[in-house]
Amino acid sequence: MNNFILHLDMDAFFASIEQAVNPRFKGKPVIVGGRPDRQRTVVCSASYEAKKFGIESGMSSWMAYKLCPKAIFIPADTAKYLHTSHCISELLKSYSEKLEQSSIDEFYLDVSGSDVIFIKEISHRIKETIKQSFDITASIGIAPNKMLAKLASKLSKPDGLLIIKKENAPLILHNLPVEKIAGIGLKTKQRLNGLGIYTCGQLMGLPNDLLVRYFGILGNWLYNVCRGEDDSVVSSSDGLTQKSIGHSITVSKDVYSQEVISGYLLMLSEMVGTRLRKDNLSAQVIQLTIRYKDLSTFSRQKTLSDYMYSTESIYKNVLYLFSYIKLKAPVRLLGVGLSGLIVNPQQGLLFECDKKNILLNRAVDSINERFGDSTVTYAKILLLN
Amino acid sequence: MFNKNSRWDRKLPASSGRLNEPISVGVVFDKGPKPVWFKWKGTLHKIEHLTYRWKDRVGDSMRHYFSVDIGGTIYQIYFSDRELTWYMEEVWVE
Repeated sequence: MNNFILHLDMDAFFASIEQAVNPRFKGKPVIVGGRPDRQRTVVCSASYEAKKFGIESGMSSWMAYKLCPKAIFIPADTAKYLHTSHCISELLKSYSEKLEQSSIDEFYLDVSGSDVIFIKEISHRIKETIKQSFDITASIGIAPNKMLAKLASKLSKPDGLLIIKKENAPLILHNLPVEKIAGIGLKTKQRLNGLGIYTCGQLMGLPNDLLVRYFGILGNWLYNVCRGEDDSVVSSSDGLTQKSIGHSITVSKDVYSQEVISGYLLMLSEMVGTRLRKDNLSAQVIQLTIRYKDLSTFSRQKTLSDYMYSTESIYKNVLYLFSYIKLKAPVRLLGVGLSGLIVNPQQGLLFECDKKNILLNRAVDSINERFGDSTVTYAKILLLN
Repeated sequence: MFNKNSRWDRKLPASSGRLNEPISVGVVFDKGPKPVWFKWKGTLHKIEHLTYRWKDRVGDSMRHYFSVDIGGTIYQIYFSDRELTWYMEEVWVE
């Protein structure tokens, strides 16, 4: 059977949608993200016209403004992007049930067993439907595995379609800079460059045991990906495959006050708790992440003997982790993560015994579900605003 | 794995720039509702071009959003299926 994975990546997704909403923005440098005069806001998405000025996602809005003062800054409108993403996901599901949404604007579709001409035809049809429905474009990569499919869509951007067949992969990879491979970040790139390795072809020249010695388990992965080998499968998303739930916040002004920090921790506990309960899960592991103003970051983790379900139990445990930290500087970012997730039985919870609290959490969740998030919340969180 | 439930914007204070003023809207049904005019602040505006449409759930109410172009000005209007009312949310003037 022919193995084929289709990777669809929307082109400058948020910025393209804003250009479709306001056609006068077409052909102009558009940046979706925070205003450049606000501290700590970043570029979420930049149109191709803005990218020509060197503007990239993740860059500070202030830096983007410096590179292109004429750029149009638009605040992100998540509802618009999520709706479009959902419609694209539904469109793709009509072609194959084996669909994995890896981000708001990226999708993997397992189309194995189909003929390459047919896959090419449906790819054109998908691109056309997206263009007609939303006036935005997508790039599609088709290849025998996920890693090569993602590479193909990246190389074909914008509005492209590229097929990498198994037999062509070594030729494409030979001169490919290592950082073009999804998963090779700045640090790995720098370490490889330090070894005199700049291309996948050069990386292929290194034996597996040397890579493992130098990079640990990542070495095995590097050995395979530079040869275009990847055995990861397209996994459809549902609550059961979720391994962790986390939220973090970069505060608008560095905080040192324990009172204010605990307010943010309660807010984060409520956010992760709401998602935990929505998916009917309980968590055994809690993690607290702190970043100082100098960007140094560290985490503390705790595995409990029982499971957390209510916001209160999450908050209590995160405060416990925080109580062991002696702050050395004002805090810039706080994060709360839950892992060790299990699905709760239908009839109730096995572990958390504070029944009154559980019922209260469920009642608050259902009010917020009906009337909108934060309809009922903690006064301590409201004080943060 | 992408999770659409992780929305920060739900926790942020509502944008002060939102108008949320009730308006009268004329709609035709052509593969779904399509606003053709609206009356706002006593003036009737004929919609020239529907540029985008999307939905957003706020509590148990579904808001059906439309962005429309009238002479270069982009108006963002929505229909709330709980209140059965149309609202003017935002106006973008070039």
